[in-house]
Amino acid sequence: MDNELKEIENSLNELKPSNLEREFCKKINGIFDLKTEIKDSKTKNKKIIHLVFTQKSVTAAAILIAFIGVFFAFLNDSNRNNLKSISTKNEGDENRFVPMKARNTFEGVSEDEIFISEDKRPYQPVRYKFSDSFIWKNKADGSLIEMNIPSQRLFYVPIKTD
Amino acid sequence: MTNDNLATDWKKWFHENGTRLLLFARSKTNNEQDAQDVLQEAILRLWKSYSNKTEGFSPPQLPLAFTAIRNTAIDHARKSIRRQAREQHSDQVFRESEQLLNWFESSSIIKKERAEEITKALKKLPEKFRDVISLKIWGELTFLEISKTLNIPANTAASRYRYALDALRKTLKPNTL
Repeated sequence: MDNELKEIENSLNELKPSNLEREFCKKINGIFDLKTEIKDSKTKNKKIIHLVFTQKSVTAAAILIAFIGVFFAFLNDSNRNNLKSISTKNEGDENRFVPMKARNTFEGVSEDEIFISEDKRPYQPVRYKFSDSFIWKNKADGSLIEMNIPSQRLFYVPIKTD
Repeated sequence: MTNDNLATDWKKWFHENGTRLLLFARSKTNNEQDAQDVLQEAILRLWKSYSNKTEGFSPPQLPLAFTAIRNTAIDHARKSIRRQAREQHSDQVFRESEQLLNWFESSSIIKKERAEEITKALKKLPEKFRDVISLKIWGELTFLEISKTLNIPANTAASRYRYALDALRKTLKPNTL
């Protein structure tokens, strides 16, 4: 480092940063007395009332929708059984496969990752899984055809953020 | 260690290092109010993060404190960009008055003039040079510590320091130093 730069370095070293304003010092020192308040805020934070409440409400809504889903699935199942019996009665040809059983089974519900819509609103996707099973029977030789078709329905439940 | 002792230690630490910390905060912000806000926020963050520790905690080492100020200043600048749009006029008035604020102690008129001149010269420096000068001269950090604080290689810190001194030499008249 040449002499001129050394000279500037020395002149900078001679300068001392200006003192802090008394009011500002008081503010900063006040921070160091915050210990107990911080602890209080920690315990407050542990409650997280809003989040738990939101989760509970989402779960309750999901269960309610699940019950509705099961109810309609049951209703649908009984309707199909009726149709099956009607169609069986009308079938005269013994060599053809006739439907013996049709069932819509509710298999479960799962929650997908939270979805943020274009207008920045969060939604909780709730996925209901069903399984449709059908059985046809040939009355001539008694052979069976069985078919299982999985299906699912996706509901977006809005999450309260306020 | 009791809470009172901890608070006393931290107050003593701030009393010893507060001026150099504020000087660095000044070099990272546009005006005195922002510098004080940044320093206060940085100290609060440090205090909170340290007070979360279960064992006894002592005041942080200076490089860590400077890093906290740097990070807080970056966050503050992001907020300020949004705020500036609606406070442009009042901010401009404030900045004009800010020009008169001296960053250094001055016991006599001659020293005051010199301090003002150097303050102005430092304000004109690019921020990356001003940071290194501030940390090296008044923060009393080594180039290695500066490199960790600013997240740059130590050689870069050293070269920036040299460039900064050279820039100051060009700005300041040698006969006034």
